[in-house]
Amino acid sequence: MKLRKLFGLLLALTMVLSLLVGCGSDDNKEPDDTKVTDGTGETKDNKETKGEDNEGETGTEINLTVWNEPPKDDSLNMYLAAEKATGIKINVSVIPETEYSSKLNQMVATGDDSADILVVWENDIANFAEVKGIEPLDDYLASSSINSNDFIDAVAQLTEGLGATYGLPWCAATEVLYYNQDMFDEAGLEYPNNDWAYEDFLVAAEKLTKLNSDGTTQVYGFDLPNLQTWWAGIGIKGDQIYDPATGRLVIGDGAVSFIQDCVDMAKKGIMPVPSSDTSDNFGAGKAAMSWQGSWMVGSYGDTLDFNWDMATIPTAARKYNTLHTGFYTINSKSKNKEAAWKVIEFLMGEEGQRINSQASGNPSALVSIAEKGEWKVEAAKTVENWDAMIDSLEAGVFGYTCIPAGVTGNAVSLFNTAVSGQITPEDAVKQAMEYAAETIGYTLD
Amino acid sequence: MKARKKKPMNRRLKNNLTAYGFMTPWFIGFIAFTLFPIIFMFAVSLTNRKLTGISQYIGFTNYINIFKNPNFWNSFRVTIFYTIIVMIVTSIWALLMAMLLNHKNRLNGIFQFCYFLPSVIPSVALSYAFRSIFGRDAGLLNAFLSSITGKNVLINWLYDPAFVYQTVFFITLFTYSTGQMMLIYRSGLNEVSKQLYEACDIDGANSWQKFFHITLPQISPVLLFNTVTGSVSALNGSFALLYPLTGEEGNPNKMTQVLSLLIYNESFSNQRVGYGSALSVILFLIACVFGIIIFALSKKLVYYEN
Repeated sequence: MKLRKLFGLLLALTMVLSLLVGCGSDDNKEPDDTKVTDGTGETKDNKETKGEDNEGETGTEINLTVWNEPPKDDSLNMYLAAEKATGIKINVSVIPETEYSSKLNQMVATGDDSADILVVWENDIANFAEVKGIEPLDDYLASSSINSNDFIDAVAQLTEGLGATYGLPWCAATEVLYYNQDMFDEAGLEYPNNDWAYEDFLVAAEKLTKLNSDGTTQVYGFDLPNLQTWWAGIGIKGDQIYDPATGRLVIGDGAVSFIQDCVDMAKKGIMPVPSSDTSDNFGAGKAAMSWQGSWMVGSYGDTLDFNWDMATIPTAARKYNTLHTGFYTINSKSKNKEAAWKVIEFLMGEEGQRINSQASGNPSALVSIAEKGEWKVEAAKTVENWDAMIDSLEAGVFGYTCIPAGVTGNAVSLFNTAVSGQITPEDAVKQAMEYAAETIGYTLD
Repeated sequence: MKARKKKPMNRRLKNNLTAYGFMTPWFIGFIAFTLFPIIFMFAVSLTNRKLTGISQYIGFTNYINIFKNPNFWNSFRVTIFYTIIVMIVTSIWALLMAMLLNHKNRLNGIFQFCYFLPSVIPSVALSYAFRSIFGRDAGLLNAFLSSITGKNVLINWLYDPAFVYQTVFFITLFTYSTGQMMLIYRSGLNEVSKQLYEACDIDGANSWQKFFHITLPQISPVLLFNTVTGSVSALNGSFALLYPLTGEEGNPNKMTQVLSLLIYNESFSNQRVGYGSALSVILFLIACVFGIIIFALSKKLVYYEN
């Protein structure tokens, strides 16, 4: 009996100690649900890399946090190239995109030093700079080969308000119009070009639509804008969308006009109504045109069953699309800042940017490198209008991506509700503005 | 004599200490993972804490702003409605399934396996599967209906206000919570004395009378248990089901934005952790109120043999 009690107490004590050990903090801990990939692209369990942490203190090993997996093809792996060039080992921690921003925010909030380089999104960089979670890079840049004046204007505009340069853009993805050449040929329409007027786009969308005998749609002329390209439609109608000076959402008549156009198209069956469908109508050959991110060039490549090409988003009151990027930043808690900078310097240099462009299909944010056209995806054999990418880059701004995701998500949900006919476009815009004001914290004029 | 008196005291003390020793791991776990988060959540709800950690004490401002916000009142209504309906629908369905399984049938094992299988699939995976079934243009259900009717069926199951609630409530029938309820009902039904049914047969009672006058009162404690756990599960577990189905905005037009979705939206997408914590405190209080109401009602409705 005594033995049983003693055994029970020992078991209880072990459980308590295990609990305490489990709760104990580990300063070098990787985010729990991350996969750690070394520069070779080989994925390891977090625990396997722990034994190598000591090397990091000597400045020869760093951890980098990003949301997408490094390419499996070694020749397209910029981290592997950076390792070879700098002699610094790079452990890449991949956090899923859906929770990337919140995980990084938590890392900054808790002073987590497990990552030396954080690839930070547009809407986070100002917040991280404000709480001194990331290092200013101006001193590093002063003695660097990176020419800050070579960045596209949008980058300079975004970093202007921060008081210092806190991050360097790893690329500059844009938004473009994808179109099905076969359907244009069948309808006897000219292909879109980079100066295409919005009115011509609307006419073409109607002509490209194929209806069934019962009035339902067989092929849509234009796919419903997605979370990203709703803002392109509102932008071309003339709304500012994001005011960098105040951080406000600025939409009005342009948004109402674009939503109304979408309502009309949905009523006529030219565009699908919002639904829970997750399939890509353009890729499936069910929509003749679609506005999407430039990164889809790499995804489509030669995988589609039809000929396709791209053009810039059509021009209405102005040419507009949103730029997308991530910024290489140095964690202010990093113990390997010099090594981290060396890696960033390589990744932002000509070779690093060339490899990134080839791997992602996105142009560099450095104009002189982007002009070399390394981002032209070889597999996209039917694409001829590569100029669409450069034109989009020039017209692109960091817009809605600088606003909290909840605010823009709420707005798009309201726009979709209007397209479904449940509220008017005017009410959708009004409610989106009120929500943004309440969430961001300002009073509407 | 004194030494003899001390002995039982020492033994009692020893026994008590042993008991406390066994309880300690659970108690530490309770403090660390339940009590502390609740207290911390309340403390954070009194600040304007952002996701980056910036925090300032603002008293009850978050609560004042919440009660002024129409989005909160919409979510509050949706949450109450969703919880009550899910509680009723899943309880009735689980009871029905349990009664069917209670009939002696060779294929009962297979039937129980088939019904319980979706229940052990994680809610998120289940929701994604149902999302592809209930799509408008590419949904499997519409494709099936089109093929049997010969017409192009394009019902927007999860985006049309006329269909969204029915679709969501239908999907809740296949969650883990409902499957678990069914098993508990089944064990409760097995405990009902056969003699009571035999007595009813002698008195000439029909099936409905047997159900309402024997079965229901006899399983009422189980019914109470399932109602409490079902309502708490509907309040707190709705996120995993609804987030993949209708998004954090609770489409269409916030019709399915329950409080758990609003909390996620505010805390992570809008990065307002303080505000989200205040919403969490309110959800916690709602769960408490639900529990109290159900237990209060149970005093009148639940039959305990002893």
